[in-house]
Amino acid sequence: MEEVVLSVEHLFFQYPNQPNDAVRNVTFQIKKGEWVAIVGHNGSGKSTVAKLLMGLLIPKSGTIKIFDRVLNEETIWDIRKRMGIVFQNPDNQFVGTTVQDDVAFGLENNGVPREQMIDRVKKAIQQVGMEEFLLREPHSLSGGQKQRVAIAGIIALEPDIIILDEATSMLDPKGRREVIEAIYDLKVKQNMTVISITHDLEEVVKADNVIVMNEGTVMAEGAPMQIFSLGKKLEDIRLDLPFAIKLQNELRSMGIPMQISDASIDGLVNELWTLYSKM
Amino acid sequence: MDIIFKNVEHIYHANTPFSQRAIYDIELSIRSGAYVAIIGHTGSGKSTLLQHLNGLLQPTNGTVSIGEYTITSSQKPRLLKPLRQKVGIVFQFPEHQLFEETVEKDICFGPMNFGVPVEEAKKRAKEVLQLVGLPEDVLNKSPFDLSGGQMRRVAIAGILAMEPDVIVLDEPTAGLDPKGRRDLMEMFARLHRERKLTTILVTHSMEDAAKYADYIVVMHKGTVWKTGTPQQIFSDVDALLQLGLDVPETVLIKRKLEEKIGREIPSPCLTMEQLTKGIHALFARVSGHE
Ligand SMILES: Nc1ncnc2c1ncn2[C@@H]1O[C@H](COP(=O)(O)OP(=O)(O)OP(=O)(O)O)[C@@H](O)[C@H]1O
Ligand SMILES: Nc1ncnc2c1ncn2[C@@H]1O[C@H](COP(=O)(O)OP(=O)(O)OP(=O)(O)O)[C@@H](O)[C@H]1O
Ligand SMILES: [Mg+2]
Ligand SMILES: [Mg+2]
Repeated sequence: MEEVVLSVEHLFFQYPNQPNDAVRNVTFQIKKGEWVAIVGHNGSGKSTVAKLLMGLLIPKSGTIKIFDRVLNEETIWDIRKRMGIVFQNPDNQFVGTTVQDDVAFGLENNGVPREQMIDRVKKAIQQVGMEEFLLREPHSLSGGQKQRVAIAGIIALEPDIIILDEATSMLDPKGRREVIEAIYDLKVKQNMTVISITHDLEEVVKADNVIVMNEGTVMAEGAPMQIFSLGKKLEDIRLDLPFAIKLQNELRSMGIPMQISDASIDGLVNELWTLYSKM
Repeated sequence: MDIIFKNVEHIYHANTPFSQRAIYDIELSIRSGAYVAIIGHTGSGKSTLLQHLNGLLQPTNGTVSIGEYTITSSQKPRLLKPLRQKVGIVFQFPEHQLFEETVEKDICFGPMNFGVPVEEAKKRAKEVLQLVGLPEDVLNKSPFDLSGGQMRRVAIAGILAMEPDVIVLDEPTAGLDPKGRRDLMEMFARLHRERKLTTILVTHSMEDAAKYADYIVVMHKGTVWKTGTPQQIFSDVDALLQLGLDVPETVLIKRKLEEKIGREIPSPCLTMEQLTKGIHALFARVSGHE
């Protein structure tokens, strides 16, 4: 679990004809099998970093190393085969005319044998709960259905690194938990590395590591509870604390001696119950 | 403008092998000036329903009336154009409504299309940009050179600039950062209060539905399952969970805590404030203070 699978050093990027760098001196490392959440305000550079990692944008300076190789024109094709990204807007991702073909497309491209392909497509579509929609046209699906199909298209590829750019933003809360759970299972089974760009704090709570971006730079990095201990500093950069932590802070200010060691709702309820029984 | 749905059905690609019934038997009435939240899981028909509100989609059966307009399956779409100014829809995917080469042109397009002079439209563009929390220097950028959350804000600004009587929001905060989410929800609530703007919000955030709506419509598999005030809707936790929906976190915590301690918290707990008060009272009672 300690092996570094991706590292970024002093990365800078500027969009053409823009006055400022969208990404400034970004440095971080990601270990194999980790679930890393990237958070940050709108326009802080998250999607830009994701595109740099996929080799879809070329940095102005700095280095990206993936699977121990420097990302450049020669290595990009090999490296990209082992990576998958789900974009912020699923419509930008669809190529097939049916859900089934769309999910199969990437596998075909990677030269996966037909037998194996059929099996993997079926499984991926099942994992996101879209098996009733095999022959539907992806563009004619509802918002949440589109996001599910876009995710299926990437998990079918069984990449070593998967990047989710707000890939579940249109799902209902239960659907979101289910899909995240399914990806988590794959992460464990296939020792996949997950980089998830998200505004969903409940998802951040479950990450191994969190990278906080602010105005193109990395402002903090650490375990979720470590990040949440930044408190007010997060609000200053337009972020927020998970509900359970806000509630614990509130109760503490009312004189109930909460510990604030857990950001989950179950943890919070357990703690309240313990305190209550001691009284 | 009161809005009434009578027996509304919409079948996509009707009379073809690809026909797809998205909504049916919709009975709904929304009085002028109301704030209504529509909840329901993926594919339950929320976006389809919304698009009937300005005639983008016409019912395949039944009638939709909005103020003086009546929309049926046989209505000529051309006659519905004036309705588009009165009812502004912010789509689920903002990219679907951005198309001009600059943000300014994009925001001005709607108002100018309905006869607002260019100078006035530009003035409005500056004002609405502020409402959605974007700096003025994005006016000359291409909307497609913006981040996801910035695009979302431009799409919202374009609708606000039309100064509609009814604003329809299809998951308007998806992709916004936490502060942006709060600020924009507060902004919509303010417009609703100050301008009596009828507001219809599709959301997956049960917290927002509970906090802002006068009443809630729950959609399930293409039809209206239940309508009621937030308090009514969220009092039946089991029914909602069974439909695969969530309840606000505050309601969930109240319920889990009640189960553990075997005692009722006598507050509806729809907001953080109600919940902390409820918990505080519980502890105070036990320890004998207060
Ligand atoms: N194609 C582009 N051309 C010029 N500027 C761009 C382009 N894409 C993004 N930008 C700018 O670069 C900055 C970073 O954008 P990016 O999309 O990486 O933000 P983000 O953190 O993903 O935001 P969001 O949460 O809104 O998706 C923003 O200020 C944005 O306006
Ligand atoms: N253009 C279309 N052609 C055919 N079927 C469609 C079309 N648009 C939507 N549908 C189908 O109609 C049903 C309702 O879709 P709708 O987009 O209204 O759902 P929704 O409640 O908005 O879902 P979500 O929360 O995922 O956005 C879905 O099963 C969807 O697949
Ligand atoms: Mg982004
Ligand atoms: Mg929808």
